[in-house]
Amino acid sequence: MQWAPAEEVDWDAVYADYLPRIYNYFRFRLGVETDVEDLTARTFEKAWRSRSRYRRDLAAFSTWLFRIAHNVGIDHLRARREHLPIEAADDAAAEGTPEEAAERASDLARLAELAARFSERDRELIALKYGAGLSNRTIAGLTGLSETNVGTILHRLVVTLRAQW
Amino acid sequence: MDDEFLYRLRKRPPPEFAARLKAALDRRAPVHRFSPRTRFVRGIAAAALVGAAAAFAVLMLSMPGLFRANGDGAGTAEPPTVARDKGEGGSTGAVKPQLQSNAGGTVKPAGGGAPSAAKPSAGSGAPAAETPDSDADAEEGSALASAPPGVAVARSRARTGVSISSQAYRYVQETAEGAGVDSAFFIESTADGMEAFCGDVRGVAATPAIVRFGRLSAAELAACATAPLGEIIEIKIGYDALVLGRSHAYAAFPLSVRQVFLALAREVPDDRDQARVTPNRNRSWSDIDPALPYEPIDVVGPAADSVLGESLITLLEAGCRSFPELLALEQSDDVRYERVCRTLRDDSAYDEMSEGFELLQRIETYPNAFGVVSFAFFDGNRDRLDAAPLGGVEPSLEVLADGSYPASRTLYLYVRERALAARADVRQLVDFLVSSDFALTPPAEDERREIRALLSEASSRL
Repeated sequence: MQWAPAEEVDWDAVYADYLPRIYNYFRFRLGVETDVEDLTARTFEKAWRSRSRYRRDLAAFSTWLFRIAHNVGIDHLRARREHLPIEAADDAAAEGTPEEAAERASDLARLAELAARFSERDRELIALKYGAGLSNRTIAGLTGLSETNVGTILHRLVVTLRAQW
Repeated sequence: MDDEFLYRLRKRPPPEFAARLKAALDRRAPVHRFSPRTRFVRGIAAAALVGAAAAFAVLMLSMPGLFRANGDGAGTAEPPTVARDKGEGGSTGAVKPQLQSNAGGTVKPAGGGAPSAAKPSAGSGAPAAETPDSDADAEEGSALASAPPGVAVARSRARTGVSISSQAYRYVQETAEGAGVDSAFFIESTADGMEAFCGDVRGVAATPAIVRFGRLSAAELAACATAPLGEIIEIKIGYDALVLGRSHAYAAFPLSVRQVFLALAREVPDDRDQARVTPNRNRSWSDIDPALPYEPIDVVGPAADSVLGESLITLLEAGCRSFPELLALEQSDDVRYERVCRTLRDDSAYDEMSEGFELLQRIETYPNAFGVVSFAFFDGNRDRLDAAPLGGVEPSLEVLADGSYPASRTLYLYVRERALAARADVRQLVDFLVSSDFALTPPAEDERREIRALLSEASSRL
């Protein structure tokens, strides 16, 4: 097994390419703009801190980076859930602040509202595909699904969204 | 609403945010390349460090009791160890992974192997899972710690979830979520999961448990258990196995994994040139191998995106990899590899049908039909189904356990004992995975009894 020298990776190019992907992954994942910058920054910080340990033989770069993003997102969603009392969680879903109400009026918020009925895995697939703009192949590598399955599931999800939009 | 519409919901990150974050990242020290010279200097430094550590250790040993700073044992320094089974381990390090040591120092392997000696857990300090990795951040310095006002300062947190290998993700996450288990899961490659579970060089664990197909090797477990993070409990959760079943009336015939691939893959190697793949035109079993019956290939089974379908795809892939030309695709053209090795045929030879009454009826009505079902379903319908031996092995709980049945994988959970004490969500997950609600075929009853006893024993020590 070969360790890929970290210098072989052009980190400036990585940043330019992946910043919009990670940023939009979190937008789609959360359905709101709040905390997106913080989570994006946290993801890149973790990646930069561990970049000398990035092993090209083990995972494609995007897979590696999005695993970090996924885990940052999970931590965030879990912490948010833990800090919201049950009643507050209901309120957040139903009404929320005027700012949140405005966000919900947007297409992104509408998407988040509909996607809330999907499973965790399906919401993740939507964020990876349409937020991050990843290929089905890369998503397959991230989720353990086959490439064909990713395509099939996403197609089914878009049909469902279209019917409910 | 279509793909284009969804893509248009994306937006560019605010330029000022992008610039500030980039500036903050750039302030981090560049990735260091070790030159021979730096290796030499590092070697000298390491030797000096080791010497100093040895001197310190001698000093400490000469002052017994120094580490007994408090009564709860938080200051004890002895790391936990993994028992070595003399029969298999010895000095070679080929240690059989142990289920768990008890306070008396004996260990029983999951499968009922010989007990062996082990050291009990050392210390009862803070649970590993509760250890934040913020100290690691402080040591290395946060990239954004000195960011200008307005930049979101990222603070690393202790991870709260269970690491789960990407292969096992669907099996556990979906069923656990459906059962209301309140654990967060991190999908990771097996290597990353191990790193998160075993801790880095500072002994900081990022996750209290890992779920994965395949047992940890003795070396992996030993390396992991020597980290000062507490003892590890190994639990065999169950088997993910499938069976090609046929009605008793018509009897199943033996198949190899390669023959299953040639029957059910969308594309197969050309007979005359195996480096070429062509659409699968095998219509009868004898097309694949003249020794097989002249009967049409008629298989009903799970959708590819179902949990059982994943198992079938995995079996196809194993058959595909028996062709060196196709195996080579994994390195040379991974997209093509995926298409050829992991794609079910979609013509009339394979019909999607979930296991259940309808599938049984279909098999019994159509004499040539095989059904792809889980081992648990087959086991519950042995009076109606005849299983095709795969690779010469008939499916049974015994061959699932010994690993000789080719269409089976074993799912394991490794959890820190301390996390069991400290984390209600981890206990809930463990209870769920060893319960009969979990979808996989469980281990044999005697093994399950052993696991329950082990968990009960661990709980009584906590």
